[in-house]
Amino acid sequence: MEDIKAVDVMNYPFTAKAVKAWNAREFQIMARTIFKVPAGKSHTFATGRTARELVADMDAAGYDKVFICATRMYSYRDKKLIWDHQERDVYNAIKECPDRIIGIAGYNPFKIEESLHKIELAVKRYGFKGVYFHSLGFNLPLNDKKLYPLYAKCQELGIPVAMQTGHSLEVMPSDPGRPIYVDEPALDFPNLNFVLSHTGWPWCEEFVAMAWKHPNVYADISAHMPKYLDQSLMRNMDSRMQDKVLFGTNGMDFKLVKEQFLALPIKDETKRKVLRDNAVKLYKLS
Amino acid sequence: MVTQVKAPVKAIDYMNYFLTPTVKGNWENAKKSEITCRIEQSLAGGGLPSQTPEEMIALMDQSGVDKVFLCSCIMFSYWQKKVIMEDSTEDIAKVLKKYPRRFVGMTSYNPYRIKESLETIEKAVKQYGFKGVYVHIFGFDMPLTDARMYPLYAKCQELGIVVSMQVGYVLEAMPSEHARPILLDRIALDFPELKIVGSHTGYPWEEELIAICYKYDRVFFGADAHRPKYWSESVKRNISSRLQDKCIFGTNGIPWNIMLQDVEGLGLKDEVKKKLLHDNAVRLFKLES
Repeated sequence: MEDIKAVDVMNYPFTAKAVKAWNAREFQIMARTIFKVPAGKSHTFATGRTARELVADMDAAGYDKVFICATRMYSYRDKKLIWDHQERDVYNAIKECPDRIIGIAGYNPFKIEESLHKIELAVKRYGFKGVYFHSLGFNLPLNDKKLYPLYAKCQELGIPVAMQTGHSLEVMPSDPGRPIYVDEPALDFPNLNFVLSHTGWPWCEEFVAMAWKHPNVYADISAHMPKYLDQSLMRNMDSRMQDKVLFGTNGMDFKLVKEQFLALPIKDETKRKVLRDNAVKLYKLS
Repeated sequence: MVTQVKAPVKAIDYMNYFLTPTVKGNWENAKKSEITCRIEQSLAGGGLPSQTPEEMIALMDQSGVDKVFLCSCIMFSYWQKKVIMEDSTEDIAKVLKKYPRRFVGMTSYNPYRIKESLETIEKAVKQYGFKGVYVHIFGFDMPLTDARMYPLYAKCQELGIVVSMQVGYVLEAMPSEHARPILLDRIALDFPELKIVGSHTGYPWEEELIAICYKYDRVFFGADAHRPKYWSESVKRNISSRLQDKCIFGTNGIPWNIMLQDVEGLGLKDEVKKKLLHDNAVRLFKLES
């Protein structure tokens, strides 16, 4: 099989300054409970890189493009932003490698006007290709009214909107991430393409149902190691949803994630579509 | 020696329609089911007049009305689940082009057609100079705070235009509770730059509308659609006191001479009357005088 140059649709700001965001309380709790890091010891989720260093890592692992999401993440407990990555910072970090690193804007539903303005600027001035939204800490389901201005703006600008679905590994409520909540927005915005991220687990069937039902709903399998991919999701990805599924790492090791994906018992054609072609088509990449 | 005579206040009617034959046809059709005849009775019977802009201007001059807002009004049938009054933005735009000093345009919104509506609004504002959007929510059977309304508020905030919404009960055969004025509270909070008019006095929940207008600088009290002589004591008191900079006069199609005669009968101070009939609307909608 030929080497497929992957497109990673789900990754995060990578500079030394940006990776400090991982120090937030929510991630350190996750490190203790999920990665069994001893209490009192802080965990390093990512070390800072320059754009050229990132591209070198991509080259080594066979990645053509990586999406960097200027994510806003909200603390459910403290009611404040714990991630406040700005589009301008992402742009400054990636601008020397425009063919390889793609900017994705964020959204803060508690600051609607300001967010819409930043999205518009990011798309028109910086060439960003979409928006990624993390709803869980905000405790807003995907059909919440505070998200409708985001959907209208993305529809107007002709860019896809991606959002985390499934449970939250951070200490935030998970129910807002149920994939079924995209049902209404997908109907209300028929000209907008939605990307449900993170496999939707533990509601993979809802995830599959939404992407199967709606011509304008796509699904990415990022954030879970491919070897643990839900069996039904994998079967659907290899058959009726082969044109609707995208690949992403969510910041996990490029090489490992791609290797595990390539080892899945699915058709070569599916691998090519998911790793690359579907993202190129949806996000109009060259 | 010349005696100085105070010029009478030239009124601005912020709430009226352009009754093209199409709009009138829609109305006649709707009358067969959900438009109750109470409305026409309140218009002194005899059906709605279909008027040309020239006929309107002649009447405006006779009645001392300087400017009239032509509101496109998309009305949805609660019973038939379809649009019964269509968007008339393009017809209104033609009138504005011909008589820019006398008419002001308000476009409309259909929450079941978000994309198309937002495109119409953008065009109406940028190309035709419309000053806002008028919303008739009732037949859609969703509250003013519904998710499908939020793109409208974001767009109006972005464009710096006013959203005017009928609040209070509705005379047509549609449910009223989705337009309780208190719903404007959350909208104003979620859109901190948005300018809002609660139209039709909010009756029978005028106190809710008064409370919201009192609380927010940018929420205005639409004193229209009910004859001033029937306005509640509280409305009348607020118009001449703490809400005197927040009330704007409109007719909703009730003849100008009747409405203005009623206003005269309220015994307002000259200064308050001028604000109600003219100044507040000029300021809110940034009108040229």
